Amino acid sequence: MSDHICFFRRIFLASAVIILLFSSAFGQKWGKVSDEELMQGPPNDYPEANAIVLFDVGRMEVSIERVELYRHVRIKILNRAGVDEVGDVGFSYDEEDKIKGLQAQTITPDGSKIKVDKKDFFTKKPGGHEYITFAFPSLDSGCIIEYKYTNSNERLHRLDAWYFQGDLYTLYSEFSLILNPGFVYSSATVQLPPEKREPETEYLPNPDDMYGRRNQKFTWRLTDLPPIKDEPYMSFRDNYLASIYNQLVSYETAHSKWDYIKGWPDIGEKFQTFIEEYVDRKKDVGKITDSLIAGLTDPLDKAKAIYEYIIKEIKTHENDRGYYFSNDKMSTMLENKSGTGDEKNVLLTQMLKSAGLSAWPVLIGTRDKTVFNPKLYQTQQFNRIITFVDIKPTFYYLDATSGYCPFGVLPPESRATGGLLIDGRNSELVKIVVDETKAYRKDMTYMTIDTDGVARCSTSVQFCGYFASSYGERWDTKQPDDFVKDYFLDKLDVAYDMDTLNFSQDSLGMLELDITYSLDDYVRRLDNNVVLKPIQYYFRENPFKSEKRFFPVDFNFPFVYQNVVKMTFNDDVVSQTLPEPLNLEIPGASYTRSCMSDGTNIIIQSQLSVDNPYFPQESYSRLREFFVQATAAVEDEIVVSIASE
Amino acid sequence: MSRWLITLLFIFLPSALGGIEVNDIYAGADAIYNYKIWECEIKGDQAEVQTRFSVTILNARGTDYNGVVEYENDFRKIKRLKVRLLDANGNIIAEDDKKDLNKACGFGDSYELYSDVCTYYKEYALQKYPYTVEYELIYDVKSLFFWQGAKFQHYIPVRKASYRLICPSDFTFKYKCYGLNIEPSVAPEGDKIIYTWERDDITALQRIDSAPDGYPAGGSISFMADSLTLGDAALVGADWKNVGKWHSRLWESCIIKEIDTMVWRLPVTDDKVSTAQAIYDEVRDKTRYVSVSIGIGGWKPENAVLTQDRGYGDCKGLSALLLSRLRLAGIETYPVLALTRGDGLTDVDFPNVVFNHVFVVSVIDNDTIWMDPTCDFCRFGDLPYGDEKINVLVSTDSGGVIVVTPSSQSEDNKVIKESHIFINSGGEMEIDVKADYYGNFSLAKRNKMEKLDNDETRAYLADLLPGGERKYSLRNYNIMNLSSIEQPLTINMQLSGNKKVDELNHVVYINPNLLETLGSSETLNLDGRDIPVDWGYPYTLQDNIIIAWDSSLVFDSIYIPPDDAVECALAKASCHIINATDSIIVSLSSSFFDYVLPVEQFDNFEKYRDTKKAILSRYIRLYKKSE
Repeated sequence: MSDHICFFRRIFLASAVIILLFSSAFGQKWGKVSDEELMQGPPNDYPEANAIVLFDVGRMEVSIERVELYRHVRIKILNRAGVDEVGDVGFSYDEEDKIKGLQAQTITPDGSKIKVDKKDFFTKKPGGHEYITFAFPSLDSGCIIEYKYTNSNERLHRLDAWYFQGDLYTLYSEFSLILNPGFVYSSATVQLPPEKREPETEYLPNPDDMYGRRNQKFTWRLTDLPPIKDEPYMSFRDNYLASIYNQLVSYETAHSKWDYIKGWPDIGEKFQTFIEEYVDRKKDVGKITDSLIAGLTDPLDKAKAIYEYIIKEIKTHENDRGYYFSNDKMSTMLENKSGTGDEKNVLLTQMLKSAGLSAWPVLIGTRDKTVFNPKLYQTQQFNRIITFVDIKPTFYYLDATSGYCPFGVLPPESRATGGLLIDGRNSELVKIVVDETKAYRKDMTYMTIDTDGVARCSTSVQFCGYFASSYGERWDTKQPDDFVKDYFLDKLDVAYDMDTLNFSQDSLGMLELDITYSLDDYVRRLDNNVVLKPIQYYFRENPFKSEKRFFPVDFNFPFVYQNVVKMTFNDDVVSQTLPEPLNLEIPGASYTRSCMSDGTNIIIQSQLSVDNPYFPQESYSRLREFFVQATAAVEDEIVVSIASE
Repeated sequence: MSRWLITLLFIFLPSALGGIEVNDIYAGADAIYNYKIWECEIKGDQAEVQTRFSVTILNARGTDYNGVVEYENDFRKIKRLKVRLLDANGNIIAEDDKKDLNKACGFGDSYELYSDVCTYYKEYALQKYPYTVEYELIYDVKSLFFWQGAKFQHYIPVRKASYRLICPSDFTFKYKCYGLNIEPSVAPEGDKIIYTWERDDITALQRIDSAPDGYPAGGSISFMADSLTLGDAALVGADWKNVGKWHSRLWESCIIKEIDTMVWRLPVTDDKVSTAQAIYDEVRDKTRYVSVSIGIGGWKPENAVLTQDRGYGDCKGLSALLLSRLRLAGIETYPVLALTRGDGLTDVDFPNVVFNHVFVVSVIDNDTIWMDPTCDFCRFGDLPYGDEKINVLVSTDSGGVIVVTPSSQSEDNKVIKESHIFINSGGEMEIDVKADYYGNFSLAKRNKMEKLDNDETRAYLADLLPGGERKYSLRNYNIMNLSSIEQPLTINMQLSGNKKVDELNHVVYINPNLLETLGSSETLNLDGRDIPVDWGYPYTLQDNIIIAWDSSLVFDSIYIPPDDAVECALAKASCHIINATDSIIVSLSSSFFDYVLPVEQFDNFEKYRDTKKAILSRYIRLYKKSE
């Protein structure tokens, strides 16, 4: 009797599980579209939407054999522009993964369903990943499109992240993680409001578990998510998306337990092995090092000599293999004289060690790709190897990727908050202490206004710090005339004749550009008055066009931009009207402008200073207004009355 | 013999180079092609091509040339690919073959959803310049359709370029050299003939702003086999007529000839033009552009029924659908093969198969109606800018015919602005602008604006006025007819000036041209230029501005610049200002009448431009009453 009850209970429970699984997401089923969905218009807080995600539901089940993510997405097209916006869809996955049950269809406003034919799913293979793409048929305004698939893989240790948010406004996004008995995962959420971070937990029967243990199901649900679009001064886009990352902590059976996360030292030890397999022919490296430091006694001088050698002799190339090293061995890189930034930094570490200095590789995530989350024990957070060298009493983080960064200054993208110092079992998390010297740019322009109104100008621009590395790399790869046109003269929106240009770099890494040019139409003549604006090239436009922003502003590094313009007039000056002094200040940034005259010459000096490169979302409107005012000052004119002929 | 040739070469080389010293060719170069050598052997309707290229990178600006990119598909099979990187001393630093290069499959041109092409690519670089990248490539060309030519000249100089063609003695083909006048040497060898085109010391092409299609005429050779087969369609005789016939054969099976085959109802109208319009409108509105290129599908369209069922297709597919429906309606219609404006120039004197777009033309009552189904916002009978005034091949029943597509006129592409400017008591400007965009202006704006959200739209609109957000604050806006085909796109904006109007010594100065700037082409430096200027398309800009002011501003008198107008062969401009006592009415107009400004018109145009600038820089003066 009890066996029968047990049997029927199991049948009932199994059915309940199936019902639960296939009727999740507000009970949405494949192809069953509600009247509400057909009537759905744009959301109130994003009325300009051309298309919206009605729901994006993911259910990831982890068993001892595999990880299976079932995903079902439904999108409403609100107008004809929405057809172009979402008519072609695609998703990517690791090339080892299996995609099963892929279906897609269009549901027209009258309820007709038109399926995407199997032969119309196309797989692109960019290398390492694959990408399935397809076009929905018979689309028009008011149509609903949906697709579903299951991704089956064996990445038990690193579950794919789930992004609740994307390019379109999302009405509802749900992610469930179903763990078979014995699995313990930890989760890290990004950009989830506090009240949404804790999942709803359920226990589901697992008829296959011989010990009667149940599956655990964790569900996170978010609603009404605005699209995240590209904005100026944002770091890695994915960091702004509401998302969840899960990682395997342990797996336990009745008899054994396997711990997968033993902490950062464990990860560091494994990565050290990876580096050691790459490093070869240490004696040869030692010989090169000896030649570089011959005659040097000061450890800092030795470190600088080695750093200079690597940035000058080894070409940095893009990592086209996708995982740190593009050469099989360090010796190959030395022979090729070309390697990724990571390979160069491993060589740097090795050479510093050969020179008797204390140096270690450090794993970081560059700012344009990721933000380090110490709670996530995943090497996938990192994408660059840099070097830490301890030259007592001080220490330095070094990155030889860029040829324009002086010793001790990290390239802008390597200014990470933290990283993992690789030292076998002693590997540990470290705070990346960066040189906070402000980047500095000074534009000095002399303008001489002819009697016929032509402005003859010479501009000298000094780039220091990060400005030097950024503009230096651009100068290297652009034609000189194009460089001057693109970053300077074209910004004035008037015709110009460029006369000379000169570009130089001094021993301290400072770059200087000198250009001379004339502007026929820059000056306005109003009777006996000459009217003109002081020339300014940098921050002529307010970069923050959007009224709203859903994520912080990240300038990456503090900087000062100084613009000095000296004007002289070939006419006899009777009087001058100069712009009023201007002082703007918000926490983290300031702008000042002052004007002076000795009766003949006019000097206008302005300075924009960003002291704190990070502005949280809450201060966006204030920052935007600051830049509106600072850039509007570019339009302030000088009026000079000249003697009548 | 070769010694004589070398001697002769040295004697004639300076004159062949137009008096340029050989060393001058390489002075200031960022990279140099040491050699570009092709050897092509024709094998029936196929060919085997061997290429050997060597390029020396002299500095970082030359690194545009340090990559190797080769592709493979059904019609082009790579048999061997070898790359070597050498340092300044000639030491081999790296040696790769095909498997060592990065591979990406499925990615065609940016507009394609999918293409069955695999690309092999890798960048080669050393920290120390110079370094050299050499590569050898052998590939099979599976149809002589794809045997189209070779490029000798680049934006870097070339020390040696040669093309050696080995073909059966009965193989016939046509060739044409562009930019460089090279006659091939011809040498029979057994049952084969060997043609060789060679040129040493080829100067680098100059980058020139606003260069029209066909300029600069970079040195290249184009080939066209007298007979070839693509798919199941054979081309016999390399002339335009036969190219058209071949195309008809290629498309034959994709065109629907029985209406029952299509689940589609013919529109009921009174006349053929209305029928054609109804059919075009439906195809344009109920389909969308999606390009999938697999095998012959890159050149042969999908069956029109399939395109109809899917509601999408590429230019060929959509054109085949449109053409099928028009023909089913009894309307004489033909495919039009085009190389679109901005992508090259079809040389009418050299029949070939180099096209990148297809649309259709109907003939009704001896009149032609041109239709491009890929243009989302084109009115019936209008072509998008890329299809206008270009040489195209119309594939008629009797073969191909070269014609020029219709031009748009300056009156078709108009921007008419009606503006009210109010100067308030504080001297600030409040501006209401209503701008109507017609023709190509509206197409470009619609394509851009339909994808913008509110923030992006505000930013875009603010930049429509000179000085943009720095000068004006956009208070409100309204966009009408964004999705309309028939109506002009209308943008209404309410703005306020961020600065006060110019007031000096009790005189208020107003520039009548304050809402419009001169285009970038109008500031283009024509001094010493010897190629025409690409002007985009003919246009008319009309500004009607009413300037009024607050009653607290009392003016003693108002100076109005006199009416003036200027014109040259290709452009005209006028300025007409009326003092209406309590307001000023400004009418500005500027037109350009063609797509290209020819070199012989430069002098006239310079004078026109100077006069126009003078007209537009005269200020209205409002003299305040002395207090």
